[in-house]
Amino acid sequence: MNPGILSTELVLMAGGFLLLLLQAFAPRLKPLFAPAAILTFLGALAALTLKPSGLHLWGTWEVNGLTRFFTVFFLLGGALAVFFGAYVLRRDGMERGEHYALLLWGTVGMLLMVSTRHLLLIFVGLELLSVVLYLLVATYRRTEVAVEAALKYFLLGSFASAVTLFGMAWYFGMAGHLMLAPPPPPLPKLMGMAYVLLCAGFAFKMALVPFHAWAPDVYQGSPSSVTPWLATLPKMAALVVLVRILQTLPPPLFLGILAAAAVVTMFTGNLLAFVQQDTKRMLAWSGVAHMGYILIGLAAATPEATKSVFVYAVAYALTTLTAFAVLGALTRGEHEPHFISDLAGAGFRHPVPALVLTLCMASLAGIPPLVGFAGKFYLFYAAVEAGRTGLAVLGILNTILSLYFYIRVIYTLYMKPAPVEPLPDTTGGPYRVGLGLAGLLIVFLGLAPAPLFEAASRAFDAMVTYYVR
Amino acid sequence: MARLLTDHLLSVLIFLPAAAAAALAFFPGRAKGAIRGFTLAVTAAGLLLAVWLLAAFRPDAGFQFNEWAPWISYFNIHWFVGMDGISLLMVLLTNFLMPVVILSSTRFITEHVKAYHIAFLLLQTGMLGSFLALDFFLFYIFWEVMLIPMYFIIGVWGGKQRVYAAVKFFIFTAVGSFLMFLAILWMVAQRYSATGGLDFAIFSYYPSGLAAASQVWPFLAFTLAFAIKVPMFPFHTWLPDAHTEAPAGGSIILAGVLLKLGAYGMLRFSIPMFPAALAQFLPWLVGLSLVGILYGAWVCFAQDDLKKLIAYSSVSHLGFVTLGLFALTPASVSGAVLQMVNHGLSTGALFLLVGVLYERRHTRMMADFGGLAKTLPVTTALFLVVALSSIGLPGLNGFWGEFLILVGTFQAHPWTAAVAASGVIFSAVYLLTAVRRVFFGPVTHEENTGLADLDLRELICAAALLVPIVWIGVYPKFLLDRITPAIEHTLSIVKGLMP
Repeated sequence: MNPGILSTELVLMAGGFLLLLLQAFAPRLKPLFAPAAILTFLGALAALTLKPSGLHLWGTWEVNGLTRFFTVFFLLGGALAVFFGAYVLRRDGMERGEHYALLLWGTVGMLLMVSTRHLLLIFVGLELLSVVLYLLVATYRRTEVAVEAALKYFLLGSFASAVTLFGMAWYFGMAGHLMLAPPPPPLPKLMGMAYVLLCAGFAFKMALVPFHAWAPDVYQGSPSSVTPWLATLPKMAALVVLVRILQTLPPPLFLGILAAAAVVTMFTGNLLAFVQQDTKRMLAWSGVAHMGYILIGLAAATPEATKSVFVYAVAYALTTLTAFAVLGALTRGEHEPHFISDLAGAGFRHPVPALVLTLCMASLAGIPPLVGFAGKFYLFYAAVEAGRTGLAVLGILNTILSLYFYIRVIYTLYMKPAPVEPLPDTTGGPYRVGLGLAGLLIVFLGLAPAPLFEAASRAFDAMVTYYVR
Repeated sequence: MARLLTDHLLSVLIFLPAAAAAALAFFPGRAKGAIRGFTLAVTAAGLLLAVWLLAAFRPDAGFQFNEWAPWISYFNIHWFVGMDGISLLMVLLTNFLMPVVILSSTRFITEHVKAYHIAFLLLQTGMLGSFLALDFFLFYIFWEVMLIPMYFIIGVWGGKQRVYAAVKFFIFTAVGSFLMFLAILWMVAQRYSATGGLDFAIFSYYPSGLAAASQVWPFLAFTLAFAIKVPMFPFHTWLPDAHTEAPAGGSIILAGVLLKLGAYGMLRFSIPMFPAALAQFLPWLVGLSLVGILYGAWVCFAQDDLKKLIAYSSVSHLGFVTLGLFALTPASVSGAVLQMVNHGLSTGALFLLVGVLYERRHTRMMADFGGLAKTLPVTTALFLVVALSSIGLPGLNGFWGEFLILVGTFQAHPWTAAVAASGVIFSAVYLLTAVRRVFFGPVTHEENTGLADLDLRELICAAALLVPIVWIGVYPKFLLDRITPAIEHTLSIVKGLMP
């Protein structure tokens, strides 16, 4: 066996262990933990080049355009999350090596999920990720809301995992193996049940309606060092698994269900985001709605639509991660709620975070020339081209609905008078630089989205090649 | 270097303001004078560039100064800009109004000066790009780029109800443009399934080649987006709020240029792309234009707020513009395009002078004024001339636009033209009534006695606007010669295909 095929994962695992040991035996090196974690992510990115393309480990381990596409985003997103998280943790005096180790290991879980078609490996990845997430939410263990969120997440999440595991068992019973592959026609009736159960766990991670109820509470309760990561990258990993499952099925199957789920998810997310007072909760519901738009692409089910879904996921992840990072800076502290109205007057007082948050809101609303628009452009074009014009119209109507709560943040920032005690910017200069760079990236990928489109296209081609084999 | 400039004139024109906005970001916020001076210089340079384009423009050469370069090749999207007579006029109007706006804002805008100027420069890039884009994707990007700066201009530097007005403006405009976005995607997808090629060039859809039945929805989506922007009755309700609450500079640009984008879009998209659907909805569009003319005028009678009166008079005057467009005769469409410029100048000047009054008295209510002619003779004279130009007095610019629209409309719909002509009379009534209430009669308020007349800066702004007002009034042929070929070309596309 060539150890190169696991190079990225090994680097991440080793980095995590190292940080754990350092925390135990050399806590004085604490200021170096975050740079070390970022270096580990970048080292893993370098190690990605060592991975030989192809199918490895008896056909269970894939290295191709698809895995590369998502690995790159998981590693860069992870590095970004470490960077932002470090300043939040330092501000609160909560910095510990475990935080970084968990982020590194969680990334390994996500890489497992996207790199294989073997259900058992996918499940191991899912659980690794889930356990990491439960722990991360609870890192502020003296903050009541955080503990409550962690407990809720744990109970619901383990239930969803159990259902998925049951689906896998069912699948094994019907198919006789655990590889995701097109079932030989005709599809046995009970096989459909296996797929539904199988999808549940991933729908839960993506917060699709009706598996969404945890999202607002957990996003609101989890500390700002964790939310940016929690709300974005795990959704991408679950999406890849969902796409893989759907790719094995003959097209007409499930499309009706997906379309219905898209409509319900979009409307639920947007209508409930409308009435939120807490920015984090609003972003949670907005995240639900965005997964609804993604379901439009899955229901359209053409190659173009699936590629557009990958692009959309990246756009969502980058924008939402940045938005939560801004909320980590503009806050009265982790014990306090993040009311939208608290942002009043922050626009001119804290120009950089406010401008970046404005860009994020505009990007989520799909206003050009930002990355969120590039995603919507591709997604809606693919849906219309696939003949799902009705779904696209509903998607646009939802986008219009969503305008109100996104611009509400903007006008609160710039047009409402500042309160007596204005919101402080708690995380300092380097954090602002990071936010500014993320904001520039949001603009840049909106102006020049072609590389993103092409990479997503390669990812999709790699995914389907193995089924044609 | 010179070659680089002459080959990319339009790109330079579009991105000069955006580049200046980026440069402004590095100015210290306290250097208000430097910020204002820099912005004024940049907008003046933009005006010079526009005049250069006017001088180099050849009326019968179709689209010129074209630039074409691959942008998002994955979707076959290009950086494709070009200028015909219609866009030339719009670009001139935009770049002419911008320095005036910047100069006129000096005293009124004292907070967040840097952000104000950045917003205006970004807005200018959006406006110019929308007028010059010849690629659907590019057009949509520029169209939306205008939204956020204008939202900020109304919402940050506006009056008491500014947040409400800004949100209303944003949502109305965005609703229309999102539906237009979907229509663009749908048309491109239809073309793709017919030919197997992705094509975002606007010319490729002259006409769209869709079956008559399937033209209806995209036509309605485009026309709704533009009708909201114009605004046509009954989509006009955002306009009075936005105008009333916006700062004077914002009102000038909003009335002067942004509303024109709606009419421009109708001429560039709705009319040539969907002839069959156009024929089907023509009675409605002509009817709504007529309703807009009369309704806007009647509402003006009831206004006490001077700014609101001018806002509603815009609804009425832009009713003339859309009437001229949808009458589809060469004379009426020429008149409509000319009237777009005229309205931009006259209403811009009116908002400017109302802004002058507001700076002195901090009220817009006509009842709070009265007898200003004694203390502010220059203001009064200028306001009267501008009001007369807005009414359509022969010898000033407004006359030619309304005259051509009515003549052209008479050829197609005689009765409509007859009823629409009453709108001219109404506008004389409400505008002259307003002039009388504000400037003449006895002085009823103590505060109005000691006011200072226009200072030099304000005088320059107002006089600058008067030059083209008189020039077009005396010699409209210069501009008409430049737009006629473009209009005839557009109409020739439509005429053969309308059932």
